[in-house]
Amino acid sequence: MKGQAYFNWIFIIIIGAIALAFFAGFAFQYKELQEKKTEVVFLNSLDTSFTNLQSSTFSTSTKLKIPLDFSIECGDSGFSIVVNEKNSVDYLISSKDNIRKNLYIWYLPYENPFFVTNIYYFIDDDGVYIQTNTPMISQLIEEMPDNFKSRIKVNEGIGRRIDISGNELVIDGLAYSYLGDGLAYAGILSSNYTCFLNHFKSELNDAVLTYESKAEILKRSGCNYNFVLAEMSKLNALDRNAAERIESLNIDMINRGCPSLY
Amino acid sequence: MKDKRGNLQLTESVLVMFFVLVIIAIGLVVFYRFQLNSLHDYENEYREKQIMSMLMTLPNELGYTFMGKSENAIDTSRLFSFGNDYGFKTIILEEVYPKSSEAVDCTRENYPNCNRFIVYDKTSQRFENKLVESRPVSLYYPLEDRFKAGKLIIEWHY
Repeated sequence: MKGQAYFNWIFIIIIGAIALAFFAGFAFQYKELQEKKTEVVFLNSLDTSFTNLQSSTFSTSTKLKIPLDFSIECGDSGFSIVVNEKNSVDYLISSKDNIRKNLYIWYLPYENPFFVTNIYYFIDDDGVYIQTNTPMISQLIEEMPDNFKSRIKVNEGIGRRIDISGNELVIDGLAYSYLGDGLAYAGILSSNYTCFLNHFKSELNDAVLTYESKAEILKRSGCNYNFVLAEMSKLNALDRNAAERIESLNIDMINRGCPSLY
Repeated sequence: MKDKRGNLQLTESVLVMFFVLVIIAIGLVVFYRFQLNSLHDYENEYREKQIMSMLMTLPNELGYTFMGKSENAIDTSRLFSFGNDYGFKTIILEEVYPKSSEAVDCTRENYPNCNRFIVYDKTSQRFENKLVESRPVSLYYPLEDRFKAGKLIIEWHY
């Protein structure tokens, strides 16, 4: 009789332990599943926003209420959106590292003189703090969409110093070539502008290669695109004035009855 | 006698509890499987949305522009040095009108006397499934200064 009672208790303890392990395991698995689900839903809505923004012919911005905080990582292979795990994306993002609560997205295609890439700018409710003495930076901020310019605090609190000096964009004492307003906006909104610029250069290089290849094909029409090709190399080396020269050479080619390069 | 009856009742209660736990466990497993399926549905939906947005946006990236102004057509002379990485996908542009008797893959050498551009192709043996979507596009041939009707096809390997 005593043996039977012992058996019952041992049975209860073993089954209890198994049940406890099962329920605890289930709780963890379920939590993981729900997080993954939220992540997929979030990435889905982010993707929809990107498509909608690109579909518009105007420079547009949108607001996205985010169910969870996320961060943006810029690495050697490109940009990633990190929610619970790293999700690589194939576009350029200009953003601070961590985004909380509401996400505001602004889209600008970079064309100088031809289309190079699309740039997505991110900001959240906490905004961005910058220091500047350059009136042109203040003017650029004025030209941003309303939901962006109201979140950029100029000469308040602690923030990165951004100035424009001649043909250079100077961020915290480091000088970069000024290659248009799109990159100046990236300088204002990016936590890691150097990394952003490296990926931009790679996109510019791809675009230049594409147009060089097109110029080689267009030579079959009997037109000489060598001058344009020489300027393309300079544009690839971040020569700001090369874009203007390519533009005027392209107009010359069209006036001579040659196919337009871009 | 009382001891014996008490033990019997205890054994009975333990067995009832055990079966209740087994039923709850089965229920939870079924519930989890159901949730997992719904996650796969979300992932498929996400994949489909991404491919649809690529179909919408890719013609802008490969677009023909005249003095920087979009002409709503794909510039076929730019398709030979497409450097972007789109993951495990195949992107094909096919000329559908004027219709040709056989498909001729385009290379730098035979362009523009061809009708099919394999713009991007990255596949792997480990993927067994593929999602295929397409849309009509306008193709521009600058050497001939002609527009032709085409189809943009994107295959997503997963």
